[in-house]
Amino acid sequence: MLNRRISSRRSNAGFSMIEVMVAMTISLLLFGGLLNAYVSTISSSTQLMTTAHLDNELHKMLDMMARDIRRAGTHGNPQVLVTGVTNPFGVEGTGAYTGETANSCLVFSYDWDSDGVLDTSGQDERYGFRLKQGVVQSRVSGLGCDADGTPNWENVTDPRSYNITSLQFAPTTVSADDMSIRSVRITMAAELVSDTSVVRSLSKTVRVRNDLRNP
Amino acid sequence: MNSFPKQLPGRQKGMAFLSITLVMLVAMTLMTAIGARVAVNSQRMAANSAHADRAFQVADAGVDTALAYMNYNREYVASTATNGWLHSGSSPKWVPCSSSDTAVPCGDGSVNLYGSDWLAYGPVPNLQQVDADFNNDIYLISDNIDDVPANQPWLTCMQILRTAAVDPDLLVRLNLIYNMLVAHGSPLQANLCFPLHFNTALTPPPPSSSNPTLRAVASARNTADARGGRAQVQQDLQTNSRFIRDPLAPLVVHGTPHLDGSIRIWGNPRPPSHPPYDWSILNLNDVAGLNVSSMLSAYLTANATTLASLLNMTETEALALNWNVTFPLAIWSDQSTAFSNSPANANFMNGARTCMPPFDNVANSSCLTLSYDNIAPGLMMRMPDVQDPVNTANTLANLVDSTAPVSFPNDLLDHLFGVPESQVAEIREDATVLSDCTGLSSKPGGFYWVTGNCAITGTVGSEADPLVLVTEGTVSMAGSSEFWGVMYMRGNSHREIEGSWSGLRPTIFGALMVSQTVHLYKNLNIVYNNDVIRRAGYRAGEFVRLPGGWTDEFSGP
Repeated sequence: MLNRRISSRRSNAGFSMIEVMVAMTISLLLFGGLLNAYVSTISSSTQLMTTAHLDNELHKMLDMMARDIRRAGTHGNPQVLVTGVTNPFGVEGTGAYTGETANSCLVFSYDWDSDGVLDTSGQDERYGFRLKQGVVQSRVSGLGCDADGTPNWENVTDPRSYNITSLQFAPTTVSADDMSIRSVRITMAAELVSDTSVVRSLSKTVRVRNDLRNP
Repeated sequence: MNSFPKQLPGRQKGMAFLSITLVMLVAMTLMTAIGARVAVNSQRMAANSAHADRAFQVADAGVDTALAYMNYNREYVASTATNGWLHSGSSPKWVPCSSSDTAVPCGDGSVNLYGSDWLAYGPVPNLQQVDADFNNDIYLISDNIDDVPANQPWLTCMQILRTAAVDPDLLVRLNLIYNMLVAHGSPLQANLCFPLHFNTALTPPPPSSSNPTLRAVASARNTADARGGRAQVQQDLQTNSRFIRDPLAPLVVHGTPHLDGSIRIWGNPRPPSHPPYDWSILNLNDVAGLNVSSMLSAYLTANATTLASLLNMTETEALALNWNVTFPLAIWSDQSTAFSNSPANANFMNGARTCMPPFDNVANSSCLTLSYDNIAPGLMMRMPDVQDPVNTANTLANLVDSTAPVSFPNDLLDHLFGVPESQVAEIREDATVLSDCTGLSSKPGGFYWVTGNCAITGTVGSEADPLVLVTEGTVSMAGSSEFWGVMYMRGNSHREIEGSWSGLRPTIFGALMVSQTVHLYKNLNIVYNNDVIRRAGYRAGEFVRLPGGWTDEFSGP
């Protein structure tokens, strides 16, 4: 009876100031810690995602270049090459835009419309990639590695989200009997614009599928 | 009743905390969900790219499968015999495309690519599935599988012969030069030649029935991911000759050719002039003291109209061709004794003769009996090194000079097939190995290797379907028998060919090459035939990738 009364009175009473302060302090500490952990999780996963995004973009870029370079030398009417005609399509060579490192540009050609003629107007069949001021560009209308014009080389990477810090093409040719087997090693590095500490570097070797007939 | 007020303050206190917790929980759940969604998306992208990569690799491997399949079946690829892919009763076989056919390989799935001139074969049985997740379809398509590449236009020649009659075989008789050469005392046959491919005015032939296209089309698609995992690759193929150099004379012997019977040899009227055979072109200013160059230009100018009409070009174009005078070849050997008819070196019986084309197995009117006196350039000679493309010894004096240094290829097998004698097993693997020549007359063109003695009866091979035959024993040819193709003798002993005294003279059409000293006896003809040699090389050769002919599926027009 006595106990019940006491407890009943107590439960009706509010917290003392000290109790509230202690509780608030404890919960604030807890909450703060939790928030901190949450924020750091978010930021690390953001970094992970941006890194992954950069990685993904670089892979896509590299794949795209590899696919295109692999086609170099495709000729719509390859039978004529047997009769001593020189293939007008192929790997033209490397170069660089003014101020960029050597071999940061590769130019090549393939027969887009399979007519056996290297078209230089309409759908220009001279292709290439170059590095210009942190951006990978795709060749338009047969412009040289260090040339600008109208229409000009087109950007294929997004300079707002990442910079290409280096791009290198290393073509190799192995001659065997009357054929030359060509391959190109592409090395590319990039950094995020938002966080330049996020850096990625990739490389890939492409075997040009159409061998070169030695003269 | 008593317990009710006791619980009230606890409930009030829980509400605020619960709400905050719930809000935070919802927020975190949302964040996680968004994160997971991004992760799933990027995984999907990665998977797509991996599928596309694998599809490409599977399709690309399909081209190799097609190539291996073609080579495995090359006996049937262009054959109209039973089981041949051109035989109506065969299965599978080449089937003509129709111009409304849009399915691969006659079309690309939505548009027709190849009309009714094209033949399709497939799908090629793909015994070894490269990747279990992918369907790999391989087809072959051709616009004229039956054609082997024609004689390549390295050189077009016109013969200079004694008579003035017009030769139907695009041969112009250049009496002027011939008569001058005869007047000089040599029974010469010369050819007027120009290398076609040096002439830029002539455009290369377009794809046509004489310029066959053979193409392998391989596609791969992921069975689970139809959109992401699909690729198509095509590769133009060509037949490659088994020979790295065509035999340049009807009889090529690394040793002494003992012609101990009535052996008649029709020489190569058109020795090739491209490297390494540049020696066959004579220096026009230095032929036996004659100024052939001015004779030639005078003749060309006088006959410009005829030449232009024969060559189907303008007079200016015809005269602009790089004309040369060459001489035909009959025997090529590294032994100087082979050219002596002295009693001590009686390698030639009186019946051995070299002959001027065309071939005639009865009259032989154009044949000359061999003796030291009439060994003239073009009839029979040994040559400076032909393996060395840098050869300046191409004057008439050097060609007939039997004391000139000789550099005959040390390894004739290597010279012909590009495989040295030390690695003979490598090339033998590619051949159909037989113990003797029984039944050879019913075999289609191809590459055969006979380990024992070879008795040839009837007709072996044909002009359209000749063969390459390597023999390791003796060869005998029955009366009236014919061999079409290139015969290569490589035995260590018993290198002999027995002709026949009865029936029509047995004849080898094409060329005969012997790795060492050889005896030829009784009646026998050897007739050089460049078309047969080339065709035999291609029939015995392999399909290879045509450079420039690889392409994958991309957004072309």
